[in-house]
Amino acid sequence: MFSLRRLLASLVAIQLSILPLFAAHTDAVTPPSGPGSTGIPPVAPPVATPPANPLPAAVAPVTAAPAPAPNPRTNSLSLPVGMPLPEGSEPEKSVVQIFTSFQEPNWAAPWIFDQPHMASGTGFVIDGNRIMTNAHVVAFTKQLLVRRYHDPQRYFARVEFVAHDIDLAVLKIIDPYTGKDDPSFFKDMKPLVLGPLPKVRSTVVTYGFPAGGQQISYTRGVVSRIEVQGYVHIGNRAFLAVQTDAAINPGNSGGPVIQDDKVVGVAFEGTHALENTGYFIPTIIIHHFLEDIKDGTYDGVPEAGLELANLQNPAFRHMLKLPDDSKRGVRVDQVLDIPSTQALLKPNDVIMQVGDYPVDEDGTITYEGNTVGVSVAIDLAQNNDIVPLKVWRDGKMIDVPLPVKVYKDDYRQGNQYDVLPSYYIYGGLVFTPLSLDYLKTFGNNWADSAGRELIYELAYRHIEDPKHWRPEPVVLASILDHPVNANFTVRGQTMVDKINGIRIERLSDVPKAFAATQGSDAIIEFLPDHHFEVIRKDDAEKANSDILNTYSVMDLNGVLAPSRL
Amino acid sequence: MNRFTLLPKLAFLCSAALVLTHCNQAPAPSATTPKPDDNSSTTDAFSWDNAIVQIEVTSKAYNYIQPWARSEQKVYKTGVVISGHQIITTADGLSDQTLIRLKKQGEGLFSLGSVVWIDYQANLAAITTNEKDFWTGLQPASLADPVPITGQVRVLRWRDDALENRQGEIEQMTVDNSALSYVSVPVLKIDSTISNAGYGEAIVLGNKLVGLACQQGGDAITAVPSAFIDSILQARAANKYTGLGYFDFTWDPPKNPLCLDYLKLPGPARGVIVKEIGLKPGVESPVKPRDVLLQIDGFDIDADGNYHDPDYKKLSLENLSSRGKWAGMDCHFKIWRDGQEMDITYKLPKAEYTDDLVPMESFDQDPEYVLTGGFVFVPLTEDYLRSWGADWRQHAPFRLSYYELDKVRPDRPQRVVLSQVLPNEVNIGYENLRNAIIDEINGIKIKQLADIPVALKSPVGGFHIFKFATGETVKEAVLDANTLDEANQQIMARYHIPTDHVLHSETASADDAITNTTSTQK
Repeated sequence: MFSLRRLLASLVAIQLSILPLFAAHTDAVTPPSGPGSTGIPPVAPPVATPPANPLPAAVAPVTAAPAPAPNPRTNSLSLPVGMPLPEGSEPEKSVVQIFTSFQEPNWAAPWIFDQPHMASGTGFVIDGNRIMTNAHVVAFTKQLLVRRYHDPQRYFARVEFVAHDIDLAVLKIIDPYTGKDDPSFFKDMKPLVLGPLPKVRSTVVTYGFPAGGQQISYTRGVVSRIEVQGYVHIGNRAFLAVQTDAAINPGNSGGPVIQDDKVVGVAFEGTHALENTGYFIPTIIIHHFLEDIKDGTYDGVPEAGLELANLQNPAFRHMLKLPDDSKRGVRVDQVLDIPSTQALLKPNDVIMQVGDYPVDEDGTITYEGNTVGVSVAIDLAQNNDIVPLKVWRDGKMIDVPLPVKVYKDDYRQGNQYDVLPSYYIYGGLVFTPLSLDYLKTFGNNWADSAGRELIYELAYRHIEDPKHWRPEPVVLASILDHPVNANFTVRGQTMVDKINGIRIERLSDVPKAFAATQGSDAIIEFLPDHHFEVIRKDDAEKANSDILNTYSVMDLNGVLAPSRL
Repeated sequence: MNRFTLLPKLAFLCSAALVLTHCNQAPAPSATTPKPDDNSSTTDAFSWDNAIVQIEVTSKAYNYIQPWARSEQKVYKTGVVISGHQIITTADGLSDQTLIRLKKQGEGLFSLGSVVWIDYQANLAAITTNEKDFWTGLQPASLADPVPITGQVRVLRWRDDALENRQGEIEQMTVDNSALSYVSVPVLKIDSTISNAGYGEAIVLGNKLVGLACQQGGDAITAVPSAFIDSILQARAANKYTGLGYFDFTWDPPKNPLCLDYLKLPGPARGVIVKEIGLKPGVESPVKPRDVLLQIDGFDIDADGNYHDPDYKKLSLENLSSRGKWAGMDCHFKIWRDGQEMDITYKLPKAEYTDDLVPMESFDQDPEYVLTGGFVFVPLTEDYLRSWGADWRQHAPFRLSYYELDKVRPDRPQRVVLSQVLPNEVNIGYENLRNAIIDEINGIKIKQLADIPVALKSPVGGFHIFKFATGETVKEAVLDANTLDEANQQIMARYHIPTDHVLHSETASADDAITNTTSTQK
């Protein structure tokens, strides 16, 4: 019962309680409110808590086991292991503090930006005169400054690559006057080297600047658990993560977790739900990122497009004609709408092996001595790689070379960064695409206040009711008050069904539909209850510039900007 | 009608509080006040002491997560004696009752009572007793019709064998959902400092009953007005009462005058615009979306959706569905459609809980379930969803909660849920399945719970194949058909489950399919 596409609400239960570790700069005027740092419920669908008087206590939730496969490019699933630092090395000298000034857009009033905030995180030097940190440290940044170990000067930095799905970023130091990269920053700094996946119960040390302190802080702990976790920065993805009891606090974000002088992870998440629990991104994910950006572009972690279910039930195994003495194989429960996968796999196929990794009946593989979800094997693959599968079908074993691709169609169901929300304004009516970021503008309890229709439309319609699904549902986000719209009963936060009889499938349909107004009035229909409103075309068009001026809806050149499509 | 705006069941909270205050009470000692006239009290001066009765109700309490489990609950209600040796009270708290006892005048022993009739949609019930002596000394109350809509009233009930008498002030007469239903009824709002009210407390003015309290929130009491009670009593007496009807469409007041312009309605803003129709399955509605409803039974509808009631001034048009009209009766609508005025006849559909895909209530029925191979299947109902608490809309699994907004379709009268799996050797690997909508079993569509025993008669190749609805965490599960009967017996013994199913209505094939147990008869 685990998704290789990681869209499912089952992940949210974990993610809701996890916060990215992102500290406000101690000098900051404003409180910490970095991307995700205030505990914003990160993932799309709201999640149900267990019933008050539910099930036998013996019933434990299934671990969301993810999935995956080998790296066909190299035809090997083993990871490169870095060379150890010279004897007497001091990793802290390669650890930096990062200060960001960031500003997020307002997703309900998309022409407005929220107040700028300052915050700090941690990073470390890697080869190529680069600094590695978390994506959430640099998201929506307006200015990045970096401070070296025992050096009061602050250096300007830029984001070279950012991977919001796996919460990693690489920075370069720049000369603020020329804008060019400044390698002199890295003089006398040794790049840290990536190590292997640490063993459970082994000791690790975190390096970072928790709570924005100016002096580096070290915390020691053991590796408590290694399993797939929700990555709350993006909100709708899960990858392998390492849990440790070493104190990891806001400000540690992006800092290295060291074992034997090598980086075994990047600190990135914590949870209030469990004591002494922090998470770091293991090097398997970091390597994937560094490999991905070698061609100058970050693509992302590809998806197989499969929903898998454990195959522990003897009757089910018998029906699928699996040998009685076998304990291997995970069942394909559903094949998602990725054509290349649909062409090769079907429900009740049994995946026996991914790359070099045999798959057990509970959907796990043994990876570097750890039992982890099968998705881990597929996460080794890069975009457009072919993952070799051994599949049991109709009583026979077959080889399936499965192409995997990055899947981005669900971006509105996760947190979006470094993009500006699109909108269209007509007669003071503000239209914008339905997204998780928009729903979060309803407040911390958005899952309650947004209403079940909007949530269903965003998170479930595509899967359950594809006939009525829209690629980009549009909401009337708000109404900028003006006599032309003053009598509207609807005041916003409502999904748009049709305008002038034209079904609104995406935001770009809205201006086209208004342009198709016949006669004097435009008719706007809303869901779910088919309420409709009428706006007079001439009055709306005359009022547009008035309204845009009143509310300063302008682009950077001071020109009225009725839309961003 | 407003089927989506459901009032919280405050009355249940009130009743719970009453249980706490009364459950340890011993029956009152022997009478200490003079005995009333044994033959007739009608010649005596009327006293509310002789018209208000305490009702003790013991009923079955269900656990919808473990639908085979039963416990007991007890509530105390208030009733008012009316003519014909009957006691009128609210229906709330009387469902699934196993014992009713009556106590009069705050003294003496309880008498056994029984329900004469009960109407959950209207939230009214009549109770009586076969013990003839009970009626001695009691005086039937008369009902105010019309009821006052301003001024002081008294709120009365028996408590600690004394007639508690609190002041109240009428705030307004308005129209709202009935306490146990989605149908709109007139309600009287009263401000009073009485605590834990909402279970039939008598609202009186002088010698007249003004209403029966049915809900309380803070100091605000909601009451069923006596004029509404009286209209139902009269219709019942004339054998014309067919249950409450309702307007099976939603409407909007035309706040935006351009909407009426668009519909070409001349003159000042008036009427309401119909939005959605026909939520009741299988009923053709003469009303269409975007009709402007101008008049009902001669009453003009204003642009706020109100009409001018001769007794109560401005009231919502929804009141006209129960103002002396009952299910099946005709209402005469004047509507504006396609640029012209039209007269249409609207037959009031009968309000029934099963009209909803997720029924909001199910009274006087044991919870249904089917247990097979440790899989517990139940119908999706609000009773089940309330297992997540009063705020289940926030806490229940989202998709189950979402179905409340969906409609009954001919091919899908019910949604059936795999609520949990009771662990056993046969269902290893499925232990964590729960709250999943079942779509088909052995290739047979599961439209309602009773389809499951039928489908289980047709295993495929020795296996039972369960397919869950698209979007569920797992789409398919398989059980061994050959070992299922033995496993069922083992599971029932292991988890102390007396029967493997309870079905209210079974198809003939379902009857055949179930051999080990008998259905619970209602």
